[in-house]
Amino acid sequence: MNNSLFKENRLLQVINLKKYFGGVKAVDGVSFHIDKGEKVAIIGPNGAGKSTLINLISGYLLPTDGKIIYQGKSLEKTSMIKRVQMGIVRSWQIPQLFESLTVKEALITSILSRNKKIYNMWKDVNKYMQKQIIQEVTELCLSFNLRETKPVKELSEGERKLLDVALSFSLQPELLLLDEPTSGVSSYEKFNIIDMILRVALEKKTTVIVVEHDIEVVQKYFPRIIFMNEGKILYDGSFDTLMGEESLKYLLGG
Amino acid sequence: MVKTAYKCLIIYACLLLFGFIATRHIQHLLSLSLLYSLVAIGLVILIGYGGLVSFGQGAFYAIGAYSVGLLLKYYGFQNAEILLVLGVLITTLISFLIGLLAARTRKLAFAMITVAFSMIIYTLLVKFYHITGGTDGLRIPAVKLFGILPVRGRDLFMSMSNEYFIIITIFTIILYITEHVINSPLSYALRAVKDAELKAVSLGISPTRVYILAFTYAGFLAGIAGTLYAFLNAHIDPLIAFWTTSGEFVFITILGGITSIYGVFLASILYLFLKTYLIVYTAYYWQFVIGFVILLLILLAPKGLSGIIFKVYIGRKVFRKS
Ligand SMILES: Nc1ncnc2c1ncn2[C@@H]1O[C@H](COP(=O)(O)OP(=O)(O)OP(=O)(O)O)[C@@H](O)[C@H]1O
Ligand SMILES: [Mg+2]
Repeated sequence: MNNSLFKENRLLQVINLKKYFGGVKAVDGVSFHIDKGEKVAIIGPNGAGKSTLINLISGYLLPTDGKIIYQGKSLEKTSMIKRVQMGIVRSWQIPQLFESLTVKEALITSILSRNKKIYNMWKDVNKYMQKQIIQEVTELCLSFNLRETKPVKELSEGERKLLDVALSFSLQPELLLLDEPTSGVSSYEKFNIIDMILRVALEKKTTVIVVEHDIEVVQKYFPRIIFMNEGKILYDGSFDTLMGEESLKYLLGG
Repeated sequence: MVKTAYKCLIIYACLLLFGFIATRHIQHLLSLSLLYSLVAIGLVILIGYGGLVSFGQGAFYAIGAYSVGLLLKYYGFQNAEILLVLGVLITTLISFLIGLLAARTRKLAFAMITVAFSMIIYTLLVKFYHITGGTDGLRIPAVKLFGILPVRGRDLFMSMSNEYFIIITIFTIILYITEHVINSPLSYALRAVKDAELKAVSLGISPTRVYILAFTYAGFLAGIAGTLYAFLNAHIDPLIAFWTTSGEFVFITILGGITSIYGVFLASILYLFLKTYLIVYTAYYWQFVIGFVILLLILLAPKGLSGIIFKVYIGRKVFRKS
């Protein structure tokens, strides 16, 4: 593929990105690019640097070296919050949720943040509850099988994962980075969760990068796979050709 | 919203009615309780919703009070309303500036910054005695509100004192405003930041900005209370800036159940009446009794007064059903 031909479709370009923690080369010279609307899975063994890569793109960590170009703009010193406003939204490997709120309240908090109304302290939240926001919350809950009135602290492990994703979608991201949205749930639920995520992403035309451990899930849902090990990308392409790579077989664990 | 307005009106009516029948001494105690409630309501927002424990509210209370005292003494402002507005403005501005610094810290570091701040204010008030009157404090003459109503006296209907009337009126207004703040987007942001700061950031919410606003609002409330305290008490001294006063505010907030503004309203009344009468009857033991109450509270009712009331209420409901 001739890369320069598709430039206007280019969403993210990562160039020779590095993140060292003392002697640990967590991300060590990674380059790739993502086009609008792509669905990409990042796989690799524990400690491969997957989360660190997500942390760099989302701005939680600043790189030791290298470039991140998003929609043609270089992100080096852009803060995490600024990146969220630019459309780069992430979830965390271990979901951290708002335990004192209900599902609906959490989603509304997120939507108010998106609409830049979150710092208003004189107006009742109900004053912002226009039809379209209520409908948005209802739709998100429907898409991710959540009950609006349920307190967050009563959610099951699977529901927590789903709320985490729903919160990310409520920001209407351009680029969504999900760090292991299916970890810690049953294998059956895994398929379900990814299914819901990709369905909403397709509908909203969101570009998605998912870190995923389950090889069957990856095979079923993701047309493009980035395989990482020891901070480097060893493979970037479709699942079928990945299985043909003799040199990677031992890392994939059969 | 209408419900909130009714709730506040009912409270106001009760307080007014009480003013007609209560003795002047009780009115004074109740007025002081309401001032303590105002400070504690600020702490409900800061501790209960935001998870930050401030031991510096006494300093803001003192700044409000001393703004009035010093403006009166050196600039000769005679209008209570101007003194009130300036006192609150000064306190709010200072709490915003301290907030800029404190909002970057959490937990123990935050508590220490606020303690340090109150120690600084206390020391300034004591050491610059040629300006502040030192430990002797300042006398506050009974200036007039809107040129007609002296801030202290008995110019109103029956036994109601002017200071009581002024304080319950302002208290009710603040209660109404705070109900809005508690249901505002910022309040949700505060809870979000308290529960999961990093998640809040990944939703585009700036914890620093959220905490600065909450801290400033708590300072604003302490400022109002302090300003009114100067009018009520006729005399102010640096002890109100000492960290023990801040400790009392924190205690009342915990006693009330940290997330309930009505809980701390009751807790302030309970605390000040207990303290006043315990000092009379058991001169040296009241602190022991207060300590004992804290212990009982932590062991038996970690959610404070509002928790107890809630339990009794729910308990009765369940009981009736069966
Ligand atoms: N903040 C940090 N400080 C020091 N070392 C770190 C830090 N974060 C990650 N590392 C190290 O960097 C390497 C890559 O970690 P990372 O979390 O990115 O791996 P991962 O691919 O996400 O692994 P997993 O599948 O277990 O989530 C590991 O060796 C890890 O110990
Ligand atoms: Mg990881």
